[in-house]
Amino acid sequence: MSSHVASYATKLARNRLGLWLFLISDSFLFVGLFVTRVVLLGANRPDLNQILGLVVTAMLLLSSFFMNRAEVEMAHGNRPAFLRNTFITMVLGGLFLLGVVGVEWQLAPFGPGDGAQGAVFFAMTGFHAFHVLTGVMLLYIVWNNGRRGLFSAEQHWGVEAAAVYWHFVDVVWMFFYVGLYLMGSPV
Amino acid sequence: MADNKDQGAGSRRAELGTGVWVFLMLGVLTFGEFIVGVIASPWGSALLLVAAFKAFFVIVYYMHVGRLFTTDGDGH
Repeated sequence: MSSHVASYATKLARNRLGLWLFLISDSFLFVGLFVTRVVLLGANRPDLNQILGLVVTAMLLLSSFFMNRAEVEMAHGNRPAFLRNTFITMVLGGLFLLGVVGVEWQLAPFGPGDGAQGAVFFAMTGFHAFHVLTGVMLLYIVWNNGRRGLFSAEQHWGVEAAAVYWHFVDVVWMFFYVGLYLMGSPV
Repeated sequence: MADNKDQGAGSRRAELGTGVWVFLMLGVLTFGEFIVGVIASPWGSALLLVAAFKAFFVIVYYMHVGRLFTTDGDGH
């Protein structure tokens, strides 16, 4: 029994390291996109709906709050609260996607081929939205596994990994929000 | 046994409480960024500093980066 616990702790430490190495490598993509924005647009920014930007940002922040609650509840063995909070996180992630891809992309006064601002805006939001989409899919898998009772207070690496990934996507948006909606003057 | 249960409930409350104050701080800072971005958009560097400050709090309190440096399977 004690060797089982020890091997789980060792595996957990390796899993955590692996996940963080993946996130660091993934962050190079986003840093590259942000640098592209700074080089191509400089002191200008795309002319976007700022209220919509604030609303989608608030949704993502709120989703991180509920994901943190979900993880804490699972760590204390409260499965119903974990399922509820994970579900809310998925819904907020879906609303974020709807706000960016379903509304902002349609309202933008330029297309992906309309110069530097179009290319930068659609590349940044597109890559980020794809990460949000994969995050929602990962959350669904974790939520479904939680519903089937596959996690416990002692062993719930899947929940922790999904939460860390989800917060990473939130951290990326913190910088993209500033780069796309707030920095510089609208073109 | 009852002590352990009380301790567990106390730690759960404390962890949820940390989540709440981090969220409130992120909300206030984001609204501040929005106001500054709308009325004084040339302050790009300051806005990026605020974003980095927000990211630091998420990485420490929501992503629990400190767990990387523990070997005892902390939290599980």
